[in-house]
Amino acid sequence: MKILQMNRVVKKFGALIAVNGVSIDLEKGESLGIAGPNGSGKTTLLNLISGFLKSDSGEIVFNGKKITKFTPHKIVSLGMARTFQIPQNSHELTVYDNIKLACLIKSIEVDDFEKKIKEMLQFGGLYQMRNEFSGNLPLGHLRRLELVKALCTNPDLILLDEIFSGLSHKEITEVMALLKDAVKNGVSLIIVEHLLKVLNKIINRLVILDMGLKIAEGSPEKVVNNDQVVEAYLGSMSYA
Amino acid sequence: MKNLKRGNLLKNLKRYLFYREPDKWKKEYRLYILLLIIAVIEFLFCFISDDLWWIRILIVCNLYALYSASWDLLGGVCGQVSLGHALFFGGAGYISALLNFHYGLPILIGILISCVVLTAFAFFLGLPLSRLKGPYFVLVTMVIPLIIISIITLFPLQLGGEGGISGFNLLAGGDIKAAFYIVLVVTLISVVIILFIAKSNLGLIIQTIREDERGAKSMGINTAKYKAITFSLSALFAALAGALYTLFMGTIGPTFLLPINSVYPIIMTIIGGIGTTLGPLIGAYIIMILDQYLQTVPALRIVIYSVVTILILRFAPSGLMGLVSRFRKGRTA
Repeated sequence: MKILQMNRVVKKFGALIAVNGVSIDLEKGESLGIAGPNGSGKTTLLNLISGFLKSDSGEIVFNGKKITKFTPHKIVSLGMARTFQIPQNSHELTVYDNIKLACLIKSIEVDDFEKKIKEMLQFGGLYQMRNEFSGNLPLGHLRRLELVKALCTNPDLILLDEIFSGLSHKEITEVMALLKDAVKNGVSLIIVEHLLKVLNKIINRLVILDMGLKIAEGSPEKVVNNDQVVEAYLGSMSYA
Repeated sequence: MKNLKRGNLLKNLKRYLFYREPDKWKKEYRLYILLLIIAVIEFLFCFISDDLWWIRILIVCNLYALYSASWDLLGGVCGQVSLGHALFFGGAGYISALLNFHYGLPILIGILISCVVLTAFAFFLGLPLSRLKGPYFVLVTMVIPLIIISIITLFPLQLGGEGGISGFNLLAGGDIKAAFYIVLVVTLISVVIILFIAKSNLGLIIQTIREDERGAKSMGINTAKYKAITFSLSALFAALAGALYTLFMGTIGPTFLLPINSVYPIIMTIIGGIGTTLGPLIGAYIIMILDQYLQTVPALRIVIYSVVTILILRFAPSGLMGLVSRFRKGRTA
């Protein structure tokens, strides 16, 4: 069953075509990686899927519903969560409150709050620092907090925007463990990432974007050796 | 419509307003006791003393405390700085005064009608306003009361024009002590409600919108809806304060709607501590008592307040409440 279908989605910023007719399908439970040089439209694509930007044309179908014109909060309630490149936590709130917020919205019974929040804190390895202000956390913990918050909304699909960037090797392993747990529970992932080596450990399929166009799609090993992909990253061979 | 079912309503009330973790409640209930103690002290003062000058000042202090606490809910907790809160303060005053003046309605009904009308007005105004950010929100809120002023001056017979209106019934029939008790009870209950909202899960949502709107949206929070709700709640309490103030003073004019009256709660909130709910109360008491002593030099008043505000913003940006918590932290450390 397809969880997400994007059909010829276009987004223009003035004269710049940030996303140019991209079509991507995602099966339930599948993990898809999106890579590409800087400015290739990866983050714009995530913003379009999660409703933070509205596409100029094309349609996006999520869980059988057309969500092209939906607002972000409505899309979340349909079962899609996302994390941001720069962690978007409320700095003056504690870790506990941050997670409580994510639990508030979805249909978790009020009486189960404390149990659920504790469970999610322990799942993310954040229980020790639950009373710490999230503004004081190191980046690795912040990314984990973001991921746990996304998981609190009981999503079928999570969009991850450069969740590994700027993390140490140890922190990457910790975040990766959380992601693998989520995948085991049947959550689909779309990961935007530069670090292909890390990405290859978790994804089934890789899409490469360049200048808003989808230039390659397939299994990670195949895509990395694609001529067009090499050209997008390293420049045309003829000049070499 | 399914959200309106009775069981769901109760569940939602618990979810957004009444739910507390036991350890948070332990810290929170002390604040309500503190408020109660302040109210009891004021009550005893009025009960024992016959100094009507001071009782008058306390009434004004209490009403401005409620007014600035209502501003703080919107500007401090939610981060939506309104420069036109006088719209609700003065608007409620006008509505309750006019209803009594023209139609002879009892003042209690006038107060209720003015609160309901302005809360509803704020909700529908808040929906489009919630899309505006930063200075645009400030500018629009600042302009609306000015529009109302020009409408008022256009209809001198019906709305009183520039001279305003007086001669309507007074709060508690002009008995200052009785008026004091009414104002004290209303202020105490309202401030407790504001504090209860600010500390609830609804308050948490509002705070997140201030901190980071994008993050709030990505957690499934309908930010526009919650901003409008905050706007109307804030308007409700500002209107309550304004209606009582007008009926106590026995006169109202366009000066109630001037930007200076919108700036007062902001100054009070900054002095007391933004986003603390209790801070604005302290600020209101300080400013209103100073106001009485500086009445002979009206032009100098606003200069002094502005300088104090700038100094506070420079040296103690979290206001007097911030100083208190810094002192307490230093002691325990």
